[in-house]
Amino acid sequence: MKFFLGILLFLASVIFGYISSTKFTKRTDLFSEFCAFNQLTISEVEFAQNTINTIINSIDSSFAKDVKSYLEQGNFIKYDFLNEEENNLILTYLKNVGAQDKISQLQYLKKIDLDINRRLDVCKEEMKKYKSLYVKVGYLVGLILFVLVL
Amino acid sequence: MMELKFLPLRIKNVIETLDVDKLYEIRFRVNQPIKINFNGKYKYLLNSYNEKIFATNNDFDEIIKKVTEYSLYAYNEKIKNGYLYALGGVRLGLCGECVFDNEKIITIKNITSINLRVPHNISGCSNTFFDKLVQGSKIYNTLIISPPFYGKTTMLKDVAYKLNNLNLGNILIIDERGEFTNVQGENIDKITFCNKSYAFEYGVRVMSPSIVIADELVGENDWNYVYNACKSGVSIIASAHGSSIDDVINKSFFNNKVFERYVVISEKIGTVSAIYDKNISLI
Repeated sequence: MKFFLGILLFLASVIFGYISSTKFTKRTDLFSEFCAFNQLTISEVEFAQNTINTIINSIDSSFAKDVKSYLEQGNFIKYDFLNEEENNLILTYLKNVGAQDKISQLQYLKKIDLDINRRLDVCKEEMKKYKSLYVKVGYLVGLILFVLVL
Repeated sequence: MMELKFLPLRIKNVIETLDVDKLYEIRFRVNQPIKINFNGKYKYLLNSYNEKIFATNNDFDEIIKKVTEYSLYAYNEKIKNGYLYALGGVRLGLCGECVFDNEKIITIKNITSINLRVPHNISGCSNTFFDKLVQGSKIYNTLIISPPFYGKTTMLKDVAYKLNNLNLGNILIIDERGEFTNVQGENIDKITFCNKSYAFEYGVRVMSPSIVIADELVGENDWNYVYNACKSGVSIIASAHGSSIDDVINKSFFNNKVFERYVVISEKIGTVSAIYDKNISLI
């Protein structure tokens, strides 16, 4: 009985560690999509001047869907895996994208592109550092619990 | 059915209860009651309780955002010319504060009035004069003259369809404002959202049309483009503002070597009141 309880606690701890680590992946994925969306928008504004709707429809990403939902419904649902500053960066972007003439829009998109890339680098670094750490801690805590129960 | 997706819901719901074939205009003025031109007469737009519906700043924001597909940068060139086009060829005339930079208008902001013009395709509306424009394979250079809002563009569209069906050659439509969006045919090419200067030079050169259709000739330059195109052997069907033939022939830049037919619509929307030949004699 104790053995099974120990196994259960071990598995729960490993799963908890794994789930906690996914926020780093989600964060990195979101900023990668954000970066790709912004770069495509820069190129569209600069040359073909296709609309934001056309850009959204040409990209298969969850970020593009979030942009569409914000533009059409006007409400921003905070990402729970991002901190306040990152959520604000995205909200400011959503408020500004498409809302200016060509020159101002290009200036804005190019300026924010630096911020997005900087943030993406931080996300990648933190993912490298902490993702495996969370999983390892999950295993370790699981083992300790297993031993304690036995 | 006219595309109304860009209208605020409370306005769209009322418009949808009207007979769109009789609806010509919807006029929005900020904080004022919305008026419609229905069957040639201006009326208030009323809700189901018979109350006037007022246009708010939020309505303006919503309309502009939706018509520009949330992409002001893609539409600013049109906005600074004072108009926008929504799906289905619905034209929105805009009034607001003009923003200048080095004496050039760069945009219009704080829009306070929108005049939404509802396009109509009235099949056969050019029947009364079409036989004066085309005889056998000869197409006379024709100018349709009417005051604003009397159906020049609708007539041009119908002429385009008829010429397309007659297979008299390639037709190039110079569609500066996207009003001919729905006009299609096996002989029809369109240059859209492009000024006449570029369209006449580039279009005539690359598309080798037999017929060019152009809406609203305005100043001397427009007449010169048409004249040059005529000299290159292309037939022209065009339109211009005016309430009589005098309004056209009295213009300082009037050139009687361009058009061979003048169709005047002045008494009633869509009704031809006179047709003149190149010598300005009634026919």
